[in-house]
Amino acid sequence: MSGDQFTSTLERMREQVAALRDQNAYPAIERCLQMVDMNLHLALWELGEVDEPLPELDGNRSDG
Amino acid sequence: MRPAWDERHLKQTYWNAHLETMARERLDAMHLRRLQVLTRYALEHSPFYQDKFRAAGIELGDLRTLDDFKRLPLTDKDEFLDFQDQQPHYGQTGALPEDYLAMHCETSGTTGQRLRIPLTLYDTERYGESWVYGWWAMGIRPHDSFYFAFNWGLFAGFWSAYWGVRRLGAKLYSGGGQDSAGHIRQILRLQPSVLISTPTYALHLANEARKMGVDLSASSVRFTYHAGEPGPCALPAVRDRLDREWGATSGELLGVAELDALAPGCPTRTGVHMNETNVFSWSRDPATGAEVADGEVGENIVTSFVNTAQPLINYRTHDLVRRRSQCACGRTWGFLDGVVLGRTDFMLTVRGTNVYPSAVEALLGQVAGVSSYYRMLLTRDESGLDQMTVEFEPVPGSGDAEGLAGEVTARLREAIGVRIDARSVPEGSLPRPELKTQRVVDQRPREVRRALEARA
Repeated sequence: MSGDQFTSTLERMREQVAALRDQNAYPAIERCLQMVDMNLHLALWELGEVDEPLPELDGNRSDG
Repeated sequence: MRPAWDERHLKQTYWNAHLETMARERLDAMHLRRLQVLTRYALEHSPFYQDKFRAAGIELGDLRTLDDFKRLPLTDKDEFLDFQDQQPHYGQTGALPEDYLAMHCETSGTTGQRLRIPLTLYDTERYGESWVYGWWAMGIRPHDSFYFAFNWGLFAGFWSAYWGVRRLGAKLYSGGGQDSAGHIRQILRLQPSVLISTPTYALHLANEARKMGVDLSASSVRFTYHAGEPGPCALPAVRDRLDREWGATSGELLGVAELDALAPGCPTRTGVHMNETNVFSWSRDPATGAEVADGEVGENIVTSFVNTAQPLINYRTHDLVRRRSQCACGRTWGFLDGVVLGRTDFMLTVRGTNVYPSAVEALLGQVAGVSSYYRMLLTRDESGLDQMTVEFEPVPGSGDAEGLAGEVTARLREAIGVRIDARSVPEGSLPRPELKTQRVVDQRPREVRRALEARA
């Protein structure tokens, strides 16, 4: 997998997590998904592929 | 069951080779993007920066280069303390609602009032990771086990080591609040492979162990890693003592509590590297305010990307450093040769010569008979000249204490070129704190210190 493919996969995963958060009913699961998103953001941060300092800032909630 | 770690990862030299060895041009391009985003974030979320930048006539569009960014107004601890004092906890300096906060830490207060440090969970994750870069480069891996020889309290420095251990995925033994003998007995019983403490406390533990008939160099500890005071990457004599006493390899991280564990140790053990994942930094001449060239001494000015709850932009650390752009270890991150050489607020000129405490400490470590318990007293005489006096405890049984003091005075004069009087003090008379040891005691009148600070 190329670097670009790796990055875009991580970005797609964040979108999927955002969609799940919109559908989820339980606080316990919401917290799990927050952690997933934080770590996906961290992976992108450490690859130098994202510049917003917080995951919550880049509007990654889905429209669903 | 899938193994916790894959060998191809464990064998790597770097924790994150992608960023640790990134070419300077690419690193700088990344910094510029991140600084622009961070500045926008601060302007949108922090009343402190809204007022500060408005007063300076700063517009976001003005920040097109790194040099533009360096010309932004500097920020300083006193400003934050004032706002926090007026409106606890964080005054106008906070940038996020309380719901986002996961941790409240404070500075150790060695220079007076404690600065409050709000952190999000994400801030703590990245703060802690700074330690991991240094540990990994030294050969510490997730199968290692850490012993923490300190009480945690609100002190950010060692909480961040805990966040680091979690990020690394290693095992932790928290020593907690015990006396030195208790720590030594626990280390022998639990058999950790890594000790985390201040360098002074590690040497103190070795002294106490000897009195108990315990040789810590034969213990399970393979690495000792330190912060809070000048350690093995700053002072070769401290490095040699730590390595010998513990039979281990010692390392060091430079942190600034309110900013980050910002500079993990270099495997050459002659300095530390600024963690350029977390911070952007440059060096400023304290006298002129201009940026200093590579290899020259200047104040380390830092912007943190990981203090989102209380952004710190162009923040004065007051640490005097010699930054180099190249290092034999292969990391491209800025290298601070000798770690911190002195402080702008402890600037001392004796007969026209700048005296750096680090140079005095380095020499003390080379004199046989001088123990690791010492301090430097700064005074000002009636004619307005600064003086430094060194107080030290001799190694027990080292003989003529007065003669030793004379030898230290002579060697300091020879090495530094000015007279610095040394005097021996009785064994056990100097403080032995578990956290930071106050090596420099500034006894000059308060107004003198304020004037120096303003000048810096």
